[in-house]
Amino acid sequence: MTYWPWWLGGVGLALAAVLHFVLTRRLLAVSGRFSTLVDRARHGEAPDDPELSHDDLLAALRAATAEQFGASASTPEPPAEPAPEPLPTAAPNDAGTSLVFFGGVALGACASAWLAGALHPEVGIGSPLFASLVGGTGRQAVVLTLGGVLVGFGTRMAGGCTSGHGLVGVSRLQKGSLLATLAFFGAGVLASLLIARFV
Amino acid sequence: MFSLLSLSGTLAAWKHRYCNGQYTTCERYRLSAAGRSVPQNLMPNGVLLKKLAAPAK
Repeated sequence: MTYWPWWLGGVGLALAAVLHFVLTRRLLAVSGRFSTLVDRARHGEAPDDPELSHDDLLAALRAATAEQFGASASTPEPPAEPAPEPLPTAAPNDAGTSLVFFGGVALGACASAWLAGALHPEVGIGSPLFASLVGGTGRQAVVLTLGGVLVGFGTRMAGGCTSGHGLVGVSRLQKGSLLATLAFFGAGVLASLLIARFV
Repeated sequence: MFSLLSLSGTLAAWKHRYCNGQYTTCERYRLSAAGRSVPQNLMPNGVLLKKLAAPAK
């Protein structure tokens, strides 16, 4: 199998992140999309009021604020110029788009493996070192599943994964993303060094 | 509430009380922490914003 140049991966990831924002007006967040799908499956659609337009929402917000804090708190500051549209940072909430996104990820991975002549479905990661550390395919499946659960737990706890923090957050110089990326890349490098040293 | 953030005068009181204060009492925070979807029109005090009735003429 011939690997593509390492720098091409970086360019491809950057293009994917930019293209995702251009097409969806949302920042790329793979774990956010996945958790959104899971939340929708568990709890159904968020009960947004389809009859509530933006202007209706503003009027209702002012009324609710006046009721909660008094009339003086509900007066908006007139902007000197139209305020720019805030950059969305929340997890995408469009389940249909998320399904298309994950379908594209799977198809892209299969296409990449096919082009490299390595499209051979198997249990494991095809690494002799991993097999020697873990054992047969059954044990590899269990370890990979547990690893996936731990990754999911960590991404929910950290509020993002390698795409949301590592690609989008770091490029926007977000402190939390820099710290998260430092943590998971540091842990990966440390684990690799330990394995190379003792195995 | 991202689309409403330009109304800083209106949202400042909510931010002060809930986001920067007793955030654990915020209904939006509670839903999010429980992994539930948060309606756009849900206020931190649990009130769902509804379209106001037209004033009587």
